Amino acid sequence: MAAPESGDGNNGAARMVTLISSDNTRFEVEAAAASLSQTLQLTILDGGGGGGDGIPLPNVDSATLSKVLEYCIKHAPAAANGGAPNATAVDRAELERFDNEFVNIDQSVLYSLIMAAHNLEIEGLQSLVAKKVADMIKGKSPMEIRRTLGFPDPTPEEQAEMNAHMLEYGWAYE
Amino acid sequence: MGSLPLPEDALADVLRRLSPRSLAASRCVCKAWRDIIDGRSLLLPDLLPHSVHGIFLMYHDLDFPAFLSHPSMEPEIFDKLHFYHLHPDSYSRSFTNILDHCNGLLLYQDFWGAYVVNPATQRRAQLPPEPRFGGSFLSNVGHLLFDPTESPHYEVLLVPADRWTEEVDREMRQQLMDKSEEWPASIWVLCMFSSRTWQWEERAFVREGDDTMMAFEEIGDPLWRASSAYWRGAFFVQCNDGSAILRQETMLAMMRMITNAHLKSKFEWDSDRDNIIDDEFEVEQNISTHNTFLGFHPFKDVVFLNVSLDRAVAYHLDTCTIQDLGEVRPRYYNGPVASVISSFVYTPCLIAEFPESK
Repeated sequence: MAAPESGDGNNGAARMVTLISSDNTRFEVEAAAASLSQTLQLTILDGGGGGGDGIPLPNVDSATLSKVLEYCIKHAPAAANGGAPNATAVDRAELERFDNEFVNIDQSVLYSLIMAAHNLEIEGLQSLVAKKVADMIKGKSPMEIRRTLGFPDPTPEEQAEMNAHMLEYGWAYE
Repeated sequence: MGSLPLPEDALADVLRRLSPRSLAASRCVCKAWRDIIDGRSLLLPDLLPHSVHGIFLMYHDLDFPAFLSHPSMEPEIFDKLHFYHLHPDSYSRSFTNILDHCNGLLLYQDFWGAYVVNPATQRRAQLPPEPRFGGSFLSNVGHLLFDPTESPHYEVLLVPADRWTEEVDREMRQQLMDKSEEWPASIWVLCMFSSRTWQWEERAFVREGDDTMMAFEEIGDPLWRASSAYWRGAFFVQCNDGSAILRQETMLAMMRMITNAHLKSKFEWDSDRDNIIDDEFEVEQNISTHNTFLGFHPFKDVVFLNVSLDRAVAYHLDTCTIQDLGEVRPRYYNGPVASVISSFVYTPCLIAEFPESK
């Protein structure tokens, strides 16, 4: 029950910034969490995003942004420790559990996350979602990959092209 | 369109994480993916094993392996392995014992320990001492598992060659007897080294069933060593304690085919077409005497045979022709016949990534 709270502003409130999604929803988060984004970090270092201003993010909708911020808030303490050299094995296991749960989501949400992580340049999230998609591809045939990732059925020309290319690396289809 | 709603960099980041086998499949998914994979050189099939460069040979009465290859190849691959070290104590000569080959990697053992080496890239790693056998020799029991199309990691599996193998310590024997009287036992607890964890650990294997990793065929000739093959996640091991003669039957069939074949001899090592030797008469004369099997060509319908314990030949199953590959006896060997105890058809793997101890 009484898990030790880690540094939640005993010595004064942490600096907060406001992010504004494409559909005009305002999110107030700690600057430390938002700074996981390389894109936002510069603006925040310049003192932006505070007070009533807010940083507009025209490419990220509110559903995606709340998901992104969930990730950032969870990972901010470890990132603040500079890759967390003094993190315990328990902390790392907890982050890993969180990550696995985090990407256990609908494909459309996953794609929005990939786009957002890419636009906001959040390195940890980029590799987390890339790994998730790679895991969905692993061990599958070209047709299975297309179906898994929701490609439309191939046209006859595309099908012929696929078959031709499958002959190129025979060892992959034995 | 037919592609994902993803920026190219993000997609490349996904594809970069795939094994060569999955990349090859991804190349066929659509043109956009193919362009990324080819444009960024993510898949380099030329680095994977795709040709035979020679055969490593171990002999009954020699402490060192030899490498049978086209003369132009040998110095590059074999001499750089430095298998010929002398032991610091000048009275005891060292030895090198090749235990297994798998897709371009060799597992071998010498006076100092067991190693995995990639001869093509000269990368080598000494394995930590293996606990169960107390640092004794792995011969007959060490098998190498490596599939570069899936991962740069390799594993070494210790499979007792027969129920009474000297190397099998008492504890293991007890374990096997407890489990079952049948041999091979239906469940085996085997010692396995993984380059991912860099340690030996025990793993249980089930002999048969849908999810099995191993299947067993038995052969009866004590001169044959246990041998293994690893193919697409399944590991096949031959044990030495049975009475079935599967391999020898195969050999007999092969011999019949060869004596009926139209003999055409020329020295053509893989794709290298120089050095043609017309040796027809000799090959024909010797074909009916003692012949042994050296290995299959992994990419062609070719078997390598040791004819009359004297010459290695490649027999092409499709054209029924025979190529003379040269003397089985190594240069420095003085004995009358070269009795090969094991042979490993070498297929170079040029992938630079090579797991070593952390």
